[in-house]
Amino acid sequence: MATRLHPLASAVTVDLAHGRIELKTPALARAVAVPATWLARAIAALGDGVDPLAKSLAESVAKDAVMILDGTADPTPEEVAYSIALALGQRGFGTCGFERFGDALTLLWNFPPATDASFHRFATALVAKVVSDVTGVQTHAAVLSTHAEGLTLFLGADPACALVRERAARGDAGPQILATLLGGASA
Amino acid sequence: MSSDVIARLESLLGRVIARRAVPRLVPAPPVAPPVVASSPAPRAITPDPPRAEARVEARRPEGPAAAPEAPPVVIEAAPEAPAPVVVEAPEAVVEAAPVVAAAPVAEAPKPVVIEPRVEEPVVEAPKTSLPLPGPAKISRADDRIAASFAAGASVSPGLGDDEADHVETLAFRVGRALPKPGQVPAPPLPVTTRDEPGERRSERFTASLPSAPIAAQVADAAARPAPASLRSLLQRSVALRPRG
Repeated sequence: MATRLHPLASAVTVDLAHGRIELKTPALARAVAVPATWLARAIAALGDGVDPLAKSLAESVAKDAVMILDGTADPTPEEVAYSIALALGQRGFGTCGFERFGDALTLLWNFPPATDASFHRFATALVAKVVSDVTGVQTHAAVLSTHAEGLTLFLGADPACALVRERAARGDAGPQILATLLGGASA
Repeated sequence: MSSDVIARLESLLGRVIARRAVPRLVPAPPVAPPVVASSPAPRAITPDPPRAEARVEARRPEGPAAAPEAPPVVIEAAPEAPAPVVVEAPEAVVEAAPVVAAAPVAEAPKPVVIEPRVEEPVVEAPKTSLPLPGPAKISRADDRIAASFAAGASVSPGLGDDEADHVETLAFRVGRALPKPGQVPAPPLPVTTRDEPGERRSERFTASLPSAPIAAQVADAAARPAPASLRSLLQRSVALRPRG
């Protein structure tokens, strides 16, 4: 694997005497730690204006992920998951992984700042932008299901994501939605 | 037979009996140190007695042969005996055998009875003294030792309190080596298999970042066989179109 190693042990410095948190990453020099509930409330208060914020943050995350991949040609799912998870984890945004159900590809976002419905739009915008920037494939995302420790987002075209959002809003389970999307087969 | 020979035989006989009766005796606590200090060590007539025998000798009243060597002990020690010693023992006993009163041992000086000239002292047995095994007990122990050796054991028969010694003796008798701790076979570990649910036959690509150091994660990812690239998988997912 040609991904670049990041020494996480020294990546975050918490200076309690001066009330500063510093990230030893190229993109960020200083961080401000706020409770996750504060961030969730701020995102929910933005309403439709959350997309620019999500895309702005996604550019930073994707930039770090691409740097971690270090020019790896056609990276594997594990490599991409590693790079994005590391970039998210450095910001306290949790980790992530990929799952494949037949032809349907999903992203598991573990330990995000929030999982409630007001966070879903921000989450889909952020994930879609990050994955698109890292892979070079224009994609959309939709929340397929919510569980105790995170979210499962479907990655695909916009029409498929619209179907997923519609079925999820009706309360259908994730496997049922994917089965419908895949033409009745459960992959 | 002269009186010296008779006295010497009596002394030897008393020593043999004492040796059988009291194989090991710990010296009693010095109840009357002044008396012991003033009395010279009453050595036996044997030229080189064993150690245990010497201990017994130190508590036993002198026989006729040894009496000429240290007769003043009885007479000189009596006036200097401390008050507790005099109170515990009768006057006659203190005068006859003050050394015994100075080092009280219960029934150990049995040979005193054999000697007609010395009265048997009436002294209570100290609590710190060992229990005195009778000749019957000793003979039983001898029988057990003899039986164990007759059975083929050439190591300690394990008559003491050391259980490990006893176990080793038993293993030796059956002609089988003791298992070493590392050779004991461990119980088989339970084998568990994790099956994916039938409705979710899928592949999972997780980095599981924070659970382990980054270097370990990289090594783990490098050890797995490389699947298809994420770009190709994403293209197939993007190509999905809802039906109907």
